[in-house]
Amino acid sequence: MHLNFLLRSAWHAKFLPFAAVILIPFALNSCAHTSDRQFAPGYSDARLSNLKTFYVRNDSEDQEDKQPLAADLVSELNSLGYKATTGSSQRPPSKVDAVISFSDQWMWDITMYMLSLELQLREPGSDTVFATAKTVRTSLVRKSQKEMVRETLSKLLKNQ
Amino acid sequence: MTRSIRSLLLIAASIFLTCFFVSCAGSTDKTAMMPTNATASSRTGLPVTAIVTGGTPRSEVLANVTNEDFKEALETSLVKSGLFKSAGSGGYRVEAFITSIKQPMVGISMTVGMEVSYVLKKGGSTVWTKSIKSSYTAPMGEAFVGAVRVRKATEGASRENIAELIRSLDQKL
Repeated sequence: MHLNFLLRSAWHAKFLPFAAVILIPFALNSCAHTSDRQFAPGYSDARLSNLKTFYVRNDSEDQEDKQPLAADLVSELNSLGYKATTGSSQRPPSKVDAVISFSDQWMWDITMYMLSLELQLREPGSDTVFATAKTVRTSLVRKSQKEMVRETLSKLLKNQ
Repeated sequence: MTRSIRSLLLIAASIFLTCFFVSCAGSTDKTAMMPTNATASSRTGLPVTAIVTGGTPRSEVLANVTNEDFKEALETSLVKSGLFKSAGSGGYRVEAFITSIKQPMVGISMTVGMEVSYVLKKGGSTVWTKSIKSSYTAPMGEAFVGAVRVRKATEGASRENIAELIRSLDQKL
């Protein structure tokens, strides 16, 4: 009886399959915004208070494409009162307090948008990561690249 | 009747395709994160304890790696490799910071990349540090549902990472 009812309903709703195709991905992709920071064991805010100079490392496979993002990171660090440079070499060319590496993820929904931005703070010598921050914003709560940079850097360095 | 069956088939197809491509997995299994053939020739004869940060809480939906599971996988693998006598305090301490896990959202072969920063300490002083990157690709043959492939790829990347740690420590100790 229930099956018959379902079959008749489906027959009447000729757009149901199309609606399902559109609705299922929506149901699986929730409207989410998260921004968090994590420390390596033994590290805390105290390590961050000594940081004044940074090297933003752009060593990804698509360096040219990532250059605007690296430039935004340097610009935002400068506006926060830090000294920052960027480059593609693994080791910073001059002495710095920390290296920042980054990775971003983009999605398409009408237009392209930055889904997530992840920053890692590394010891300049050993290259080990001692703090990370990640911001995730899905389509409905999307922000521009500059705003994602501002939000994630603030989280990483000031925990706002 | 034919149209209704066609409608139901289309709905079933859309659900099937969504499951096939979309990654939406359960948390990783700690035993699947332990490398099977990672043995070392060095022997410290001391116990080891691990501290892990950077993991994410257990989830029924996402292929997360929890601190607790990675710690257990790490300690068990380090002891099994022969590098350390047992899991416990009084010897070495491995501090692991899971800094990134990059999982695909859709795909046929799912590749997951992972980076873990390790610090090895003995008696409070740092003996060795290294940041290890690993990746693992779960092909279609490994699991049919995309969600499961992501989980298997994440477990594989964790396994490779721990195996590389054991190889590095074997050279250092």
